[in-house]
Amino acid sequence: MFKSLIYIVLPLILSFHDFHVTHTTLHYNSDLENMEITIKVAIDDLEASLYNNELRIGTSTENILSDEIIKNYFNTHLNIYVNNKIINYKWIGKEISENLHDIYIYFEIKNFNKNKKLKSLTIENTIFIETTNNQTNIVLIELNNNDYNLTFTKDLNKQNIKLSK
Amino acid sequence: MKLILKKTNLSILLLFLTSLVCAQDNLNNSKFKQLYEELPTPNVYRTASGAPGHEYYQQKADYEINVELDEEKNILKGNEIITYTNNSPDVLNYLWIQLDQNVRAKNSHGQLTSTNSMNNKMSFRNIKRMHDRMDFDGGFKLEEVKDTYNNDLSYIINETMMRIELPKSLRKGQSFSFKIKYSYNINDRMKIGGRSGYEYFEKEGNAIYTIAQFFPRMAVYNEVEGWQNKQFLGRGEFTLPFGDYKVNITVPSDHIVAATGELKNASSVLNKNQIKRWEKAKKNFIDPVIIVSEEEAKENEKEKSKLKKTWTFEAKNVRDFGWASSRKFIWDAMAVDISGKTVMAYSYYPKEGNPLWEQYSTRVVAHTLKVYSEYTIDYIYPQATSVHAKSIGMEYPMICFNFGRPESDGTYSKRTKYGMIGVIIHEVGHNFFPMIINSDERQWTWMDEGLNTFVQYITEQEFERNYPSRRGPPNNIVEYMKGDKSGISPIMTNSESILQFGNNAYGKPATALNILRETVMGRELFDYSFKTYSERWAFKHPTPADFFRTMEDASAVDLDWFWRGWFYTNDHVDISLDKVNWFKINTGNPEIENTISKNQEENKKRYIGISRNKSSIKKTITEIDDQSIDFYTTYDPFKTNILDEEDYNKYIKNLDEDEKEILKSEKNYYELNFSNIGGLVMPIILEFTFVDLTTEVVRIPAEIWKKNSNQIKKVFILDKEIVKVQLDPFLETADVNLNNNSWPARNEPTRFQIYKGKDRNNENPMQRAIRAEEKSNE
Ligand SMILES: [Zn+2]
Repeated sequence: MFKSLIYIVLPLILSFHDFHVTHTTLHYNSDLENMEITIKVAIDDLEASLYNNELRIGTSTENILSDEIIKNYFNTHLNIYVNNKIINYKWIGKEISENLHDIYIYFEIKNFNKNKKLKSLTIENTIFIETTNNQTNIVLIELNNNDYNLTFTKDLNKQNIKLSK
Repeated sequence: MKLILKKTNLSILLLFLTSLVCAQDNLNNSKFKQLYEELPTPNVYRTASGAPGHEYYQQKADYEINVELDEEKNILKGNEIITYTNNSPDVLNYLWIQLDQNVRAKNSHGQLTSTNSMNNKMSFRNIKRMHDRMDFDGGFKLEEVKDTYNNDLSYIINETMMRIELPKSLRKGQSFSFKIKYSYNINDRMKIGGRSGYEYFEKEGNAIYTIAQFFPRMAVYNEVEGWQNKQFLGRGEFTLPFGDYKVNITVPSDHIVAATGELKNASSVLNKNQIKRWEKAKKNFIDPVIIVSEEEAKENEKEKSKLKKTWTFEAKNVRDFGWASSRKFIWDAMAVDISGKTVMAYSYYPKEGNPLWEQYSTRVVAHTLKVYSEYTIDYIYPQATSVHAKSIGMEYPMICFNFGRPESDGTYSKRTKYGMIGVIIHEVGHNFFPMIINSDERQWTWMDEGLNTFVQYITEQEFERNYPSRRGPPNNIVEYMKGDKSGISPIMTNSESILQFGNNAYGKPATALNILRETVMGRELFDYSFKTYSERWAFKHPTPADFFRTMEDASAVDLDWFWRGWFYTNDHVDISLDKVNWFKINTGNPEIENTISKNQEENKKRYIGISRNKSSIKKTITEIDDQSIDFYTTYDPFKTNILDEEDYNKYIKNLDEDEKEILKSEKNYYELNFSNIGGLVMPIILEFTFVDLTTEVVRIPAEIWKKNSNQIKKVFILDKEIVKVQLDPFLETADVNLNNNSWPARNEPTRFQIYKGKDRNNENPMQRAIRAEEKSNE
C-alpha cells in the first residue's frame, strides 16, 4: 500500500505555480429560480486529489468516466444545506479554462427558492483539503442583490450564511 | 447668453463636470494624496528620482566552492572559501551567513511555523508526506568554520542564519576570507518537496539531481535593512549579494553537469565529439544542435560508473549558483544574438522529456532572452540554461529547473505543452528579475515575481498569437480581486504574510503593470520608464520606492494614486455607470419648442383608466353642450401667439454670433453619472454608439476622480444622439462587475449561462480530431 503512496507527486514549494485556491460561485438566477453553481479549480489539484482515477483531463486518453468521478467528488466535498437539509445538485458539465490551467465545473439546483421558503443556507466545503495542507476555498454567493463572500479552510469548512431580508 | 438646457424627462438643471468634494473628516484621505508618508525619505544612497544615489554602495561576496555528490547515499559534501568585501561606510563586527538547507532540519522553524492540522478527510498520501517531511534528516552539518590561517571562528546558528564573529572589525574597503566545510542529505523532492533535490527513476535506478542552496551563502547588508537576516521559512525566497564564483563539482564520471557560469575544463569532462558539436552550436543561430543525443543518453543510463569526474565552472557578477547532474541528460544548444553579442541557450533533459523538450526548450530560452533584452536590458551573461525537472519551476542565475513531462507514450496535452513553454519563459525571465535586477525577495515577492510575470506575458504573446497566458490580462484577476477582503492582502505585504500567494505576488502586480502600460501611461511612456528602472538597477539592489519613483520620474505621469490603490490597499475596481441624462439646448423658438413639448406631453405615460375612458366614454358634457365651454376648455398651452414670436425675435437679436452658432448646431448634451463602488480610482473608458450605429471611444484619465472619489458626473457634447454607452468596452481596467457598465442597463451572461447555452457534445477537441481522422482514414 505504501508503495503506491510513495509514487505520488505533490511538490511542497513551487516558485512558478501553485498555491491551492479554488473559487466557487453560487449565482441565483431569479428568472429561472435556479441556483447556478460554477466551481473553478486547478487541473493539477483536481488530478492530484483524484490520483487513483487517472483522469488525464483534456488529453486524448481522458478517462471516459471523468465526468462521473468529478461529479461524485464534488457531491461529497461541496455540501449545500437549505433550511438545514442537504440538497442535491445536477451536473451540467465541465470546461477547461482559456489559459488551460483551470477547469470550470458546472452544477445546477432547480427551483432553489421554491415558494420563497429559503430561510437558512449553510455551505460545507472540503474541496482538496485532504490533499493539501494550506488549501483555501473561496465561495461567492450571489443571491438576489446580496453578495456573500466566504473563505473556507481545513479548520473552517462549514459556514452558515446569515441571509439579509 | 443664458444657456437653457432642457432634459428629456426632468427639468432640473444639474452641475457641470464633477460635483464638489463631499463630507470628509479633517485628515487628507484623498486617493490622490502623494506617497510621502509611505515611501522612505530619499537620501545619498537612493534618490527621489528613483535612481541609485551618489553614495550608493553594495557589498561583494566571492566564492570558491568544491562539492562532491555521493549518489549512493544522496549526500552532498562541500567546502568553500568566502571572501566578503565591505563597501559600506559602516564598521562590521560580525557577518551573517544563510544556511537555507536548515529549513529541512528536524524541528526547524520552517516546519514548526507552517500551520497544519489533522482531520478525518486527510488522505494517506498527505499523511505519508507529513511523515516523510518530519523524518527527513535535512539541514547543513557543519564540520568546520575557520579563517584562512585555519583558526576556528566563533559562530552561532539561529535556524537558517549563522552569525560569524569577525576576529577584527571590518572597515570600509576591507575584505575578510573564511572557510566552511559541510555536508547535507539531499532531499527526494518528489516525496518531501523542495526547490532543489533529486527525482529518482525507480525502474532504472537513476536520478536527476537539481541542486541549489547547496552552500552557506552570505546575507545582504545595506542601508535599507542592515543585515537582511530574516529567517528562511520556505516561501519568501532569497536576498543575496553579487560576487564571482569558481565551483568544482565532482560527480560520477558518466554524469553530464549543467551549471551557472561557463565550463572551464570541457576537454577533461566531454569527449571529442561532444566538443565538436558544442563548437558547431556556438555558430548556429537558427535551431538547436544536439550535443548529447537521446540515443547516447539511453546508452549512458544503462550502467553506472564508479569513477568520478570534476567539472569546473566560473561565473562573474552573479548572486547565486545552481547546478544539475545526471547520466540521463540529453543536451542541446544554440547561439542567440543579443545586440551583436553571442549568448548560448542550453537545455538538459532526460528521454522522459521528449518529444516536447527537444522541440521547444532551447528555442524558448532563446526567444525569452531576446524579448526580455528588448524590454529591460541586454542579457550579458554568457549563457542561459533550462533543465527538465518534473513538477517544479525554479530559478538561479543562468540556470533554471522547469516542469513539463509528456505521457509515457510520448503524447501530451495542450496544457502540458503551454505549461512547459510558460514555465521556461518565466524561469529564464528570472535571470532579469531578480538575478540581475536584484531585489529583496525575502521581503517583497512581487518585485521579482510580479515584474517577471508581466514581461513573461509579453514574451508569451510574442511567442504565439493569443498564447493562453495565465496571468496578465485584467479580466483574469477579477475573480481574485472581488473576493472576500479578509483573504486578500495588499501587494505591499511581506512575502511570508501574503494570503493567496499566486494572485497577490504574481497575478495582481503583473496585471497592474499591464494596466499601466495599456491604459494609464501608454506603451511608449511605460516601456521607456520600465527600461530605465531596469538599467538603473541592473546589478544593484532596488527597493519598491526605487521602482515607484523611477516609473514617475521617467514618464512625467503622477502615479501615486495608482501605487496607493493597487499596491497599498486591497480595494478592487468596480465603476458603475449609474445614469445618463440627455439635454438639448432650448432654441427659444416657440414654434419648435412648443411642438417638442406637445409631443412629450402626448407621449407621457398615463394612468390606464384614462386610456380606457378614451373609448368607453362616448361623449362628455363639454363635447355635447356648447354652453359648458369657456376659455380654459379650449386653451392650448402649446399654441404660439404673436407675443411669443416677438419675445423670440428679441432673444435672437440679443445673441452674439458665437451664441447663434451654438444655437444652430443642435448639439446633444449627455450628462453621465458614475459611482466608484470598488474603491480603486481608474481611468474611465467609454464607447458611445450613435443612432446611425457608428461608435466613438473616449478615454478620461483617472484624475477625474480627484475631487470626489465616490461619485462624479461628466457632460459630453455630441453631434448625434446615442443609443448605447459602454463603460470599459475593451476590458482593460479589471472592473469586477460588468452588469453596471452599460446604458441602457444590460446583464452580462455568466460563464455558467454561456456554457449552458452552448451546443455541446461531450468530446474534447482532441478526441474529436482523432475521431475525424479515423473517419477520413476509413
Ligand atoms: Zn517566479
